[in-house]
Amino acid sequence: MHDTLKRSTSENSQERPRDSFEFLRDGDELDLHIPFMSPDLKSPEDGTEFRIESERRMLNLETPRTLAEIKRDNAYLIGSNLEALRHQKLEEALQREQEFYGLEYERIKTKDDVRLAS
Amino acid sequence: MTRLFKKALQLITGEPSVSSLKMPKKRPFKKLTERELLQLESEIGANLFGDVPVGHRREFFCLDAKTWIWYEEWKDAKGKMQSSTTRYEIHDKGILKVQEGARYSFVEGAELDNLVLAMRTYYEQVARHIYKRDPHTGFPLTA
Repeated sequence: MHDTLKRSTSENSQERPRDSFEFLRDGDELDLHIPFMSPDLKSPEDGTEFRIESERRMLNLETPRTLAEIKRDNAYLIGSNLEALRHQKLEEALQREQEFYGLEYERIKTKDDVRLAS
Repeated sequence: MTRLFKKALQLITGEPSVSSLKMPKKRPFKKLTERELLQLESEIGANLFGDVPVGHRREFFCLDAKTWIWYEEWKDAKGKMQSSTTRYEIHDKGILKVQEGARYSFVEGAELDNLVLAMRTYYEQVARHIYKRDPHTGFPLTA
């Protein structure tokens, strides 16, 4: 569906790019489906429930929204999802490394940090 | 403001390039930093709009839940390096476009459609290719 998505940059690479989103869409209609955060992140322990509630308040889902507001909310939820995915990736990797090194983890990490800083 | 943008961008997308990111030999499971994840995401973002013209550099990425960055760098006819940074901020009143020279405007109309479509495409590709998650459910993708 999005393969045809192209920014309208000039073929002349020395020309200044346009300063707005004016790329071609090949007749696609904007899909207003709102993506949701990863379900396995929705645990009360990590405060995600609170975040979802905050989002609900910000999105004001109980009142009718204009099309522009829906698009804005979509943008916000997409960004929230990306943040959640990043956070999850970092946490998983940290956990994997800690499990791999066990008690040695802190020592190895400290040594590596010193090496990188030098 | 321009220098601030550049500095912020360099902190986020500076060298080394994404393709040269490597895991350290002595810590095979060392996690990527958030900055490195952003670099990986930006590589996808830069290519959402087709091939980057020769001599251009493009970055497009989600900095946080409320901020997106679009950066272009190119040489002008005299061979001088030029750059342009646009920041999209999500506010209660809409999506604000912030550009150099204190230019501010809320995005609307076709530009808003296109921007949100680009964000959505970015999200779908980043979720699948970097985080290996289904973008709609958040569940891990099965091989």
